Amino acid sequence: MEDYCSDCEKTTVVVLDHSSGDTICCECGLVLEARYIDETSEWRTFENDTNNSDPNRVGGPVNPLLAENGGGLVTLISKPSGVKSLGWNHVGSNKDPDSSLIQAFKSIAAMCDRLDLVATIKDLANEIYKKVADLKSTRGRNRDAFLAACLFVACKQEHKARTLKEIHSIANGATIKEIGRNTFFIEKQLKEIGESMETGASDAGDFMRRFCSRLGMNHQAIKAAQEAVQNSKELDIRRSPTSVAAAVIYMITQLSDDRQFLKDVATATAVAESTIRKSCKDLYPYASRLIPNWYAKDEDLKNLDTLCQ
Amino acid sequence: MHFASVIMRIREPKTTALIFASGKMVCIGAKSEQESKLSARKVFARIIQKLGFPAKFKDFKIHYLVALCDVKFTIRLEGLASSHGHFASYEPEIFPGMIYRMKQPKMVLIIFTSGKIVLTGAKVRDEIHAAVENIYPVACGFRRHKQ
Repeated sequence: MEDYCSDCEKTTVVVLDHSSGDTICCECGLVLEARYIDETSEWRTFENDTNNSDPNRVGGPVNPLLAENGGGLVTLISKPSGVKSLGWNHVGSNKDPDSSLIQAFKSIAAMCDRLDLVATIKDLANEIYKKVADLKSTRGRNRDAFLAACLFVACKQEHKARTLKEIHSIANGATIKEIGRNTFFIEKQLKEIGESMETGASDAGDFMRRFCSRLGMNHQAIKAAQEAVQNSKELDIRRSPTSVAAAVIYMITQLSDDRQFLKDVATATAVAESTIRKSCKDLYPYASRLIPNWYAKDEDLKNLDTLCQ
Repeated sequence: MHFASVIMRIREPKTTALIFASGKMVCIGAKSEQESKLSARKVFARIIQKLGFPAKFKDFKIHYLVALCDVKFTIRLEGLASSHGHFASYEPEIFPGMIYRMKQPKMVLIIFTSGKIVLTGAKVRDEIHAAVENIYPVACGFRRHKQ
């Protein structure tokens, strides 16, 4: 161990004598520190001692990024036992400064559970909430809608977009309109504070895998559907991305042997049946360009004619 | 009991006025600045005076101009949104138009795939012209070519 010795006036090797508790300079023998404070642990841990509580750990994991004031660590003064606690109730009740933040995080976590979202999306949603909620302009907003919008934005940033209807289904009663309005608000706030979102618009491709697996389509069909959606990007189709995704899936499944009913596609994608039919009508003229050649030949496309007209 | 003003609509020019008890009036819907002033005077002159109120026409000021324009070609909004991410907000699931917040001049434009653009937030006509000058080349860069 090295330390500065005042007699030698330079940094020298210093040794700790455990028996007397002295810190002694090796070169001149000066005792630098007469007392030694032992900082090792206060308990003994044995190898075969099956103790569930690890004495090394005190409290749960700290979330330094999200909870302020040292990561959610709070000091409370406990009442002395055996004393009437009348006066203590009003003395310095340390209100956790982050209680509203933690409450919000709990709500977001609950919503994530309902949609089976991974921890990365949940953490991102928490971050977004913290960034925007700090700005205090969120006063009058419907809490549930705001949290749902945070989640919506987080999903998009991770390229695991969830449709607005899916978010609405777990949002504790917030209307789709409110969630949409809050999404625009959040995006605007994030831009103002300089956190640019490299997401861009909702991508129909993000939904494809999920919708396809919900319907139990085979690999060939899934691949074909994804390719078709990529091709659709170049075309001028003025439909919401969910409608386009649903229509593409419907067309692809109709071409294969394992046909899905319109009703099943509608429930799996949460798009109305008439919307899917109308979107198919819009897509049909471009069918030859959308659907890859290795999947269906042009003659098969004629079968679509009856369905989409 | 919802909003404390009288909503008055006149046919020529086709405008709507909100008249408050304090004597202030808001006139909306005119097709030009002169038309707005004319209809404000008309609403005031013909109607309020006729009703017997001792009214004067003071402090007429244009606050906002809203304009529509058409670039006459289809625009690829997704491309525009990703390249101008700092200004543009596009959520096709929520609203089909892209909201473009221009900094110079400070205005908000709503851009549609059809090529039609709504410009709002301008105080004077020149701002609208400047905004169109700015947005037209940008939109051209994201023109969708006929296949």
